[in-house]
Amino acid sequence: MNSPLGASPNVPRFHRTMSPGQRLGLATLAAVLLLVLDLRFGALGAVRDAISVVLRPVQEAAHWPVKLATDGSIYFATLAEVQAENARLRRIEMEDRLRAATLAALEAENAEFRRLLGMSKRAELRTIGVEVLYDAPDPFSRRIVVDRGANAGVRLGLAVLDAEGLVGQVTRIQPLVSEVTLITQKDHAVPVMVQRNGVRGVVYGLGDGYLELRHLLADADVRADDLLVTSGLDGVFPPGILVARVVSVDTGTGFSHIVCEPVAFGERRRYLMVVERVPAKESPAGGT
Amino acid sequence: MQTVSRPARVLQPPRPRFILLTLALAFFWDLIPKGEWGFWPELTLAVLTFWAMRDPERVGVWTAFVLGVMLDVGRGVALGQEALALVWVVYLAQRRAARILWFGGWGQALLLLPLWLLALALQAAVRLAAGGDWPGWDYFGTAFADAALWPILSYALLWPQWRAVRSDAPASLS
Repeated sequence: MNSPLGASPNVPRFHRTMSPGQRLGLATLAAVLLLVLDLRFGALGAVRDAISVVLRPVQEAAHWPVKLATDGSIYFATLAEVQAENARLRRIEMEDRLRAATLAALEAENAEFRRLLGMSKRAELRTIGVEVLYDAPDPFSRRIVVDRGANAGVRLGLAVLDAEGLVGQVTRIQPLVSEVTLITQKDHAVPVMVQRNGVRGVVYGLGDGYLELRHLLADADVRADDLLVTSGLDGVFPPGILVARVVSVDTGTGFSHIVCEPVAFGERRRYLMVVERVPAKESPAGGT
Repeated sequence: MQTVSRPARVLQPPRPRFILLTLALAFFWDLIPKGEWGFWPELTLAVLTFWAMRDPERVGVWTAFVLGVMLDVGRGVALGQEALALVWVVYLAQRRAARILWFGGWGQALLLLPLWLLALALQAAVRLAAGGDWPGWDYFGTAFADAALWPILSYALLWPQWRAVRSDAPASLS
């Protein structure tokens, strides 16, 4: 870089015949710039969207082979498997109905108490059933792609659950599909509390399938086999969803090192649920 | 397969439409989601390398950049990650093209393998620096899959050029 920029405005800086080295330098610079803007500042959503508009038909065509393969495997599932599953589901449905009946009564009771205490109404939940299409083709992150998108009301940041507990969070949406980042993704954070005693903390993904509970008070009472549920403090996740089970608590070095494993089967499940917290419409106490 | 790069054959110049078609097909293949297994070939990488060496006038660093960005968007990975990798592979392949093309299919594959490994390593370095998950060693399997595929692939891509001159072929653009 001997000649300073703008030293001689009459000489075009970019000749048609840039040397290969110069071209490489310029292209590298451009790529690095894109990377920094995207990874550091997340500033390229518009660019991404613009290119996606062109690419979408190609992408959808490229997803056909996968869809065929999965649909095919379902078609060829044996009758015995289907019957066994059907029986299992019927039993679960019976149990759930019973529980739902009790729940309805409890909910009514709870609403009555809240009204009496002058508390605002509990947020309601809206759920969207989704099917897992495939793992996102990015080996550096733990994300899955599901078959409902903006058109079905999926929005950025919503919680994604399976029958056991929290699976992840919607991190990218397109009209017909959306991408879910799993809670086991490295540094993915979920505010939680210990179900047993309400101690609050945050679980972080470790990137190897496990989670770590951090940001606890020094003398917090957490033991192995404790269950962690969402605290709902982030205003995004509904409170009370099972997240993880504490595997080991190590307080040897003064800092507590608490490793947990997720309760959800997430990655291996085919059907998941996107859950949105809908604020209650009228609140008797006037506050939110 | 040794005949692929024998200079005894007179090659017709590749037709731009053929280059475009093969790159588009490779790109399409790379957009198909393939799950966890690491040993799927990445065809854009291989086909781009091929044309970068065979037709450096048309396919160069900027082709690599554009294709890379499109791949990044199509796969939903970090924008610029694949672009950076492809740009460097094309540059290095073009610098060494004369030496590489002197060898037969397997020899070429062996010489290209380090470039492809570099492409994967570059992407890994960028993503890990930004706090990504370690993908496991089989992530680098892609480069070996490309190398294993290279003799057949380069044979197929070269085939239209060493056929007899076709009278119905449109005039080359250059």
